[in-house]
Amino acid sequence: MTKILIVEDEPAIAAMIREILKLSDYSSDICNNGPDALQAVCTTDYDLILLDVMLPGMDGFEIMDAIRDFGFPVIFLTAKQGLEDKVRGLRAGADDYIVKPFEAMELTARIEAVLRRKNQIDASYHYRNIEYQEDSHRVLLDGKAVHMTPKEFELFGFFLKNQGLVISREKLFESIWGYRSEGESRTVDAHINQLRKKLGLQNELLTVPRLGYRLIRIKS
Amino acid sequence: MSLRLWQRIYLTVFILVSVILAIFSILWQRNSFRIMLESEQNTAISEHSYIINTIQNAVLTEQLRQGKLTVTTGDIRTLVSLTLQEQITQDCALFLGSVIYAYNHEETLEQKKQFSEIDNSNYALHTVLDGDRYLCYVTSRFSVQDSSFVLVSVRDLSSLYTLSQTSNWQLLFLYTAGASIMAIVLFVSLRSLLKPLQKLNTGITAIAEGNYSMRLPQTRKDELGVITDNINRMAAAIETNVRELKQVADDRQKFIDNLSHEMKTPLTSILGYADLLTIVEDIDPVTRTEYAKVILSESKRLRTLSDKLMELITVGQITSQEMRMLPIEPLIDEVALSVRPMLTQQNQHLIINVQPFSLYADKTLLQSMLYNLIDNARKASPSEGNILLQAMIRDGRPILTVTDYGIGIPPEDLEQITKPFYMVDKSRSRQAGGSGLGLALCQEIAALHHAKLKIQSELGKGTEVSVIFPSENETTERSISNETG
Repeated sequence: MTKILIVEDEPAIAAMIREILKLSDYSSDICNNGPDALQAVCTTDYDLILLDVMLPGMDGFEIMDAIRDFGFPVIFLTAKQGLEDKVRGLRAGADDYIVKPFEAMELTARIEAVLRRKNQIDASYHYRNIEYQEDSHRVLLDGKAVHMTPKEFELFGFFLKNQGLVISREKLFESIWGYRSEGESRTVDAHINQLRKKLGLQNELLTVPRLGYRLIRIKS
Repeated sequence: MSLRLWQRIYLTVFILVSVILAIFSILWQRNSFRIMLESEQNTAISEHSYIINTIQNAVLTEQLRQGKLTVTTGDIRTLVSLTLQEQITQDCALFLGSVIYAYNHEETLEQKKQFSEIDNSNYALHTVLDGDRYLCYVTSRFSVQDSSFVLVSVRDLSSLYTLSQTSNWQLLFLYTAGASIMAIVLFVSLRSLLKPLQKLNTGITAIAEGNYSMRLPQTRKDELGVITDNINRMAAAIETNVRELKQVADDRQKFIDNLSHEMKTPLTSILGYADLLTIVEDIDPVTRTEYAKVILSESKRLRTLSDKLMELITVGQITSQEMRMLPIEPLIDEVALSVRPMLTQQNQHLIINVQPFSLYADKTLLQSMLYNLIDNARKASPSEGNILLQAMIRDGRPILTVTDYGIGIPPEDLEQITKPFYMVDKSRSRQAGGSGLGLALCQEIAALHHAKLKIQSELGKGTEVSVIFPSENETTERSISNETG
């Protein structure tokens, strides 16, 4: 199981991040200051560290300097919009940064991207009798290739990575098509229907009234 | 091409001195030549007189020898011509009328004849260049008995002219040498005199390039010393101003950084938990309530922050025109009324001790300050604790004091406590609904009233915050200086 260290002095935010990580099956520890974080890093093997920049006493950059040699992937959490802090963080050896405030899916997507880059996770997912090969852009149903348009492919990937979560049509459209438009819900609905038909997901890819869609989560 | 200052001074002085020196030399040379020429001419005249005397003496001797008063004209003429040829070595010629009568040198007879014409004056002098010689012709008329002669004698002045020529060359040499030495001395002394200017310039350039902590070495007492002094004062003034500006900019940046942190922290929680509430479908009621509570409390925190920010912005816009003389008692009564609900929650008591007086102030701001101070005291106090609000005049100065008997402030935090977003205990302060702006706001309000904020505190015993207003005299002085300034 992937284990993540959260270094964040605001208890409410730390707890919130922990809840979000749970949704993606990540376990996590929380430290609310630098010295505790150093202690934790020395005793436990983490897959990733989420590091807040503005901490009382020892700030995120100082912690980064102290733990760099451990070689853990690090994502900075910063309240500053400015480029200066981001550049400073990346230069210090961080793998990515997230500007507060952020949405749950943004956090999980960034974490996954970093983990994949670091561990060369096999970029294929299995969902029941479906195999999703991200790198080769192929979807196999019972071992046989299914023809899908690029948008359908991306949409299915997005659901796979956010299994069990209710995702609104707006969020889907924004994430896959990358812009906002008037007819977005009809476009999304049409693509969802195609997915259900092509992959036989009528009972798994559910419509959640008023909210959007959800792909039932299958414990792996 | 523009010349530099020292070059201009150098050229001006050099040309001026050279010209004056040249004029004086030429005048002096001419004068000395004129004097020598005059003396030579006098010598020529003396020689000329000597010739005439010799001739006349010869005639006289002949008269005495013959024992006659008159000698025949023929004899005289023979005598004269003999005397001239035998006794006179000086180059001369004797004319009778315009006819040459006797001479002892054959040279320059033509010139002598030319200069033999003379009017009634005693002597005529003619100086002419003959070949490479300067000759002075002296002409005069004299009579022996009834014969009137004209004598033309010649004196060679070539040596005088040669001498003058030599001395001209010597003068030119001396002049050139003098000018060269002057050029060198002038150059050296000018450079050494203007050297401080160069140093000054190096220093000013450094200051102009932003090195405001640079000071020029002060070694002189003259005008350059005064300039150095003034430049140093200017640099000091710039340095102070720049430092103050930088401090203001730093403070502002810090304020913005803190503000963005203080705003984004509750926003992150709100966004995160609201997001969790929407994307997780089968969420249990307990968790749902928990999330909603966080969203609620963090929203309240944002509200407090925005309220305090608005107050801070308002304080910045109030001008002294909005201040009035306010009686203190009704003002404090209103404050006491407004804080009562807040205090009764924890059964805390406000004890009021007011000495009646009036204060020149803005009512809303003053009440806001007292409200904030009491709010701070409340947060620091235990349940059922007492808070003391006093108003008095001490040494002519109106003083408002809020005292609590709560947790106190650590000494190391006392200095920083009025800085925006500074909190001694962040989590505790946030739980109590603090924004970190309360005391900063009080500080701003105090400054607007020209009052001082004095904070005394002891850990575990309590805190006393006094707002000390200026005395009436000080207020009058200030308003006078404002009007004149």
